[in-house]
Amino acid sequence: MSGTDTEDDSSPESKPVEKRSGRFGYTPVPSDIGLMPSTPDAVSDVFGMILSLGAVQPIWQFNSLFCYRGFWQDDRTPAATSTPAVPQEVIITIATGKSLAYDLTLQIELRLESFVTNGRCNKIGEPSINFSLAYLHTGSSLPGISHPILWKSSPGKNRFAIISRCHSEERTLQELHFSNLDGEYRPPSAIEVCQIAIGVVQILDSIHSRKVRHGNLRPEVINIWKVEGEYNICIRDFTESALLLDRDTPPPGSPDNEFDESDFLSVTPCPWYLPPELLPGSSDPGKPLDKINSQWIIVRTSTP
Amino acid sequence: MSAEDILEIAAAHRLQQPFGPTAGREPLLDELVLRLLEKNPDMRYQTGFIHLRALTNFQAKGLIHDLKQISTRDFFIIGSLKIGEVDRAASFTFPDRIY
Repeated sequence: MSGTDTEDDSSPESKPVEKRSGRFGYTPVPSDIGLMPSTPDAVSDVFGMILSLGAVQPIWQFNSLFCYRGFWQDDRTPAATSTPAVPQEVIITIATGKSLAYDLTLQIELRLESFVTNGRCNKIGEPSINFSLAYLHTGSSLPGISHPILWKSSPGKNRFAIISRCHSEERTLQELHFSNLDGEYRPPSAIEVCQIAIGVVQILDSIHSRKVRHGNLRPEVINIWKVEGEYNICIRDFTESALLLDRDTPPPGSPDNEFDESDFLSVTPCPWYLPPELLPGSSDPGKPLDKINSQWIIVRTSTP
Repeated sequence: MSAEDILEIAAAHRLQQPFGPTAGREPLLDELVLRLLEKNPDMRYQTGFIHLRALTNFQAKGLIHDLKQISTRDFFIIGSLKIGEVDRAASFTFPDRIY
């Protein structure tokens, strides 16, 4: 997936591409993209500025969470696609932070790009249709995406997608704390809390089973909307996420030298929703890799 | 809890015991949330859903199980529900601490 060779420029002015390892390892983007600055260090700043103005192409808006922290690479070549039908139910886990996620993000982008650029956006570039699971379902090229952390399944009528942009009528969990999905103030009932929590836990379980940790889960990034009475949950903002790579069996495309355990310690998530063992100054670093970090799930919604 | 900076937050997280979010109106939910907020990770839920799929033929365990049971609002189910009863680790692990 990352096999495109972009370093074959033989002009004398070309310099070897500096490839940094570490948490935000990246490869500089090709210059013909236009929006990109030439110096990789400025990528995240410029992206943040541009995105805040909304003056970018829609595809960049979609990429905001992916690229905001400088997650990018120059391999824009998708993997070979040869798959036929659109699955009816898909669970997609997308995270950024390591090379595996780069590839997946990249492929999703490329397949969504045609939809985004086909006039389905309003004047400021916001998608005018639901940028959610239903939207992904309309993408006939979605089945062509194959990736170790892309999971296709048929879990039943409750379907969850984890993408960066969600349903237009979504409410965050934080907003739900103040009013329900109908806009009225009403503390969520125990049943609603459980339904939402089940969705969130299933998502977390899904991403954790794929060695992805969100890293900064909080009410503001849990989006909720209802479809035919069923809650749909979407977790977004994977900017602090990390792929929890196994040292013994590193996934393809993730060289050992890109893995640094300090990556996990360097995140600066919202401390309110961190378990105690992960807070700064803790003598016990915790072992969140194969456990549900359940501290985050329903604290806010269940508060009357 | 309230705190000014991250160190205060960290101290409060470690030392202050939370209370049930529904103040006893939903005792099972309170118990479940407090279990989630346990200071010791080993005292929290150890299983969600997927970890035990292969072993239990898609039967929900742990946290998901309890959430589903509570959301049924079935008197007989809830009456016999014990929070965390069907929660167990997918594999044997040693506890973090020695008591």
